[in-house]
Amino acid sequence: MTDVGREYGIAVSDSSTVFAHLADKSSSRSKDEVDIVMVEKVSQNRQILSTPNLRRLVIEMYSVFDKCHKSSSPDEPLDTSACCSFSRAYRSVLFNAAVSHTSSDFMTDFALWSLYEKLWFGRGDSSICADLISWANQSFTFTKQAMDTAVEKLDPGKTPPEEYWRGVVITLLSCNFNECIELLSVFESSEEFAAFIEALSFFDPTNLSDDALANTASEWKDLMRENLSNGKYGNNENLNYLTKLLLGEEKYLHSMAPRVLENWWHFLPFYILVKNPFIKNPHAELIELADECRSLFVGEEDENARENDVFWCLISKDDINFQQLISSNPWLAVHLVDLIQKSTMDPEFEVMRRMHMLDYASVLISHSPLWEIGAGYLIACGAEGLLRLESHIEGLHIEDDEMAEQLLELCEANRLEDAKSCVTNTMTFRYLKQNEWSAALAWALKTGSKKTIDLTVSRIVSTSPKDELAALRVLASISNNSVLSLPSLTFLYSYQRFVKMMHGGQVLDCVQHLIPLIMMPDVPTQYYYDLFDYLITIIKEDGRTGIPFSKSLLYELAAFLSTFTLDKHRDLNDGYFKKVTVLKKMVMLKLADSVSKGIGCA
Amino acid sequence: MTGDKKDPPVEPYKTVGAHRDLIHCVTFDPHGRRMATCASDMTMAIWDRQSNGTWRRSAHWKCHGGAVWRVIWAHPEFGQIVATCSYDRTIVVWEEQIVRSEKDSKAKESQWIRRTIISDNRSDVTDIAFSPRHMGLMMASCNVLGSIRIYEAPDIVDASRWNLIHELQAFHTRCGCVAWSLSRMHRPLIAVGSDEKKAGGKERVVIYENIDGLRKWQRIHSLIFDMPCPITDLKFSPIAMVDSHQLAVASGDVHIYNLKVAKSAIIEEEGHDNPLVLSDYSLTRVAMLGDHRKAWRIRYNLMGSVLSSTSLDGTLRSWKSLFVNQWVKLSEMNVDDYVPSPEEVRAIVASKTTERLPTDIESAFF
Repeated sequence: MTDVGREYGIAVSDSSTVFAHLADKSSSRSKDEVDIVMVEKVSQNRQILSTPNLRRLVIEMYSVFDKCHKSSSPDEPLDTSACCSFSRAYRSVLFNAAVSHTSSDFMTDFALWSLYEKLWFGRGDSSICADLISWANQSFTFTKQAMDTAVEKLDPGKTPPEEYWRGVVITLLSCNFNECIELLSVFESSEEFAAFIEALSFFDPTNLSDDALANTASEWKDLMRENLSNGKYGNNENLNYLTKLLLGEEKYLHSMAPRVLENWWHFLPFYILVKNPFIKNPHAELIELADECRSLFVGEEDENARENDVFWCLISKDDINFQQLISSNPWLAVHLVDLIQKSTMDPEFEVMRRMHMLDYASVLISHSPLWEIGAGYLIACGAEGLLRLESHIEGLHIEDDEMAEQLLELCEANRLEDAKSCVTNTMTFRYLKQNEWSAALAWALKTGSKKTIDLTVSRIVSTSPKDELAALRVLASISNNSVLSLPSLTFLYSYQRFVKMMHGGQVLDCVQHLIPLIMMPDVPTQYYYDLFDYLITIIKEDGRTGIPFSKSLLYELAAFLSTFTLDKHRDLNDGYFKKVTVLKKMVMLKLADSVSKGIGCA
Repeated sequence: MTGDKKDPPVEPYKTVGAHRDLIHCVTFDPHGRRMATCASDMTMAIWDRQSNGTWRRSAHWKCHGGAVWRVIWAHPEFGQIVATCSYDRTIVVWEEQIVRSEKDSKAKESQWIRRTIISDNRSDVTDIAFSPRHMGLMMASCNVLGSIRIYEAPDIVDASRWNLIHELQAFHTRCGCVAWSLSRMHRPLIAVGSDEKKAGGKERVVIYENIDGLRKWQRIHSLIFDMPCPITDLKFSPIAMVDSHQLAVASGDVHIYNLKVAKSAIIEEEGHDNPLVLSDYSLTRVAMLGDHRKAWRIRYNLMGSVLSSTSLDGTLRSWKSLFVNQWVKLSEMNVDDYVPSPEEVRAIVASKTTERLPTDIESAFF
């Protein structure tokens, strides 16, 4: 695309834009020379996919997807254990990406997926509160950093600084109690600290899933209440404050959580723990508590804020908004929605799954070298995906034979006839233009198209030197059936055998092949010249070497030559005519000679 | 698709080339890995993307006797073929040939060979377009006298022989752009637009249908476009519906039309055509994408889901198709945000060895 109104041109491809700009004339070295500057704006997708970490993520995600797709049936939903197993595999890939990538976004993706798995993929036979605490322990990696900072700022023998207490409260509010205890233990312990650590250690979230032990959570709260009223934490206001947080006192929660945590969902497990650790129903009780938690954390907000909060949409089961919000991260959207669809068979998710997957696959093919992975996703999208794959294959640059073979296999496996002809024609014509005859013919045969094979053979026959033609390896591997199926191939096959014999000095056998070769249908006109030359030479030499010609063969040849000039008079020049005339005379003489000698057969 | 929520920093690659005058056309090859530029200085250049993502000028030569107006790439199935058209009234077809290096017999070098000059146009050639690959190696051209000429290379391996197979008089005024339909399942169409300012609104776009059985292109009189401004470009969407084509027309703004086709225009299995009658087409304008009335050239992406338009105000706008006939603006980039300032250009020029047109290059190619 070009803009002529100003001094630049613009080229647009699917993955980049180039502005060609005519530079300021004063910058050039001489008056009649003008520099152009070309600036390329590479698409964001292309930039992102050029990152090695991201490519690894894409490849690993596909590996899980492929296994999942192969082990699921289009008619039956995935069972819970298989679904959780694939979900864990996906999460593991996201977690690895988060660890190796500096961005915190992957960790958020990991947290989001983990929460979905805990709430909606699982069997629902464990305590929601315990699940949320376990989710927090796996996903909130920021607590590690808070701990490190707290320990770093700690000065032995001095009063703990503010950063230390900040670290303690972050680990506590994010339900990482072991880390909280570890951090408190780092400080030179006093009786107050010991009492608090003891109280905190009393709680074991796994007890929440066991009905027989569920009352330990109430006992734990009673213990803390008792400690507080008995003044076990002495004058340590910080420990008293932490205890009030654990007892769920609203004003303390409201004051502290937004100050130390970034997001309301970081606070959710702790809020559930202190408000109602025994909730069973994620659809009602959890949503209600999550609503309270969010309001307490966020305060007043815009009307549409909830619709744009992906964690809120996940918890409140607002599927439409949830899918839209995760669509900006395709590796999350494609695989999560695919797994949801496979586990629920929900038709609404089927539409979204296909939409996400088609877009993601197109991006992979257009913006990165990961075309095989993109093709894998498209094949998983049914007829619509195959149509798109066909267009993409026609737009792919074929690097080498290996890639062409892979594409061909893909086309044949999925019956993509147009794409197959594009791949095989591209390779055939590429090799023809490079005079690589064997490779060209091999690819032409793969096209299965009579037109392309004829064109290729005709090109080879008319252009290739005789020694190269004799050395055509591919003909040796052609079965007799395929040779006989096309006249052009039959000619090439016979001609090659003849040339090989000539090169091998088997003159006697040559004669047996040469005359039938001349009389074959569809011999390219330009070949007669050489074939006639060979025959003239052989007949001349006949007197010396005594090669016998059969009478019937000479009859047929004489008849052929008499009609030949009539049939081909438009295509032949004077040189040809002279040669044919000479040959006719020689054949007639030879025939007369054969008759007189009574040679019946060769 | 984002890894980080914020955009990564853009570090556009800058290179310095050596056209000596206004660049008229910059075109990516169908794979986006090569680029061709042509300019008023009668030269064209080929640029190859290196493995590190930067561009290297691999060839540069004088290709016409006048300003080179357009350069287009044929589908790579036919080889590395480009065609150029010029105000010298000719179209030239160039092909890259890989030859063994003289210095090292194993190494291969590329050379761009002039395969043919098509000089039967009697006026300046304003646009050229290769046919879609399923139709073979064909090319349509249009000129300032309002005619369209369609050429065919009968032997697709030999780009040196081109036969004129049709000549159509679309307008009695200037033609500015020509485009082929891309659908395999319908009879081929050619659309042509006039960028003549004085032309009437209803005479600015003409569409021809190919009736192969009759071996001719027939004008579809039932399609009447009422366009407010001269037509600077038009393109068919690469994705066609069963019963319609989509055509985007740059006429100030970008107008999107659905060309509904009758069943007779649908090519049946085995390539059999329906009865040899002109199909009954109808036209509906389905969207108008505002481009401040300055749209210049337009382009669909491979899937037909994104339409980009470059404008006279130096802006590149893209729209994404959401649902049937619904388009939403995807992005807007202004050239000034990316093209460096004159000071920066001076710095770039100073830091690079500027490639100049070699003095012996003309003799190498002519």
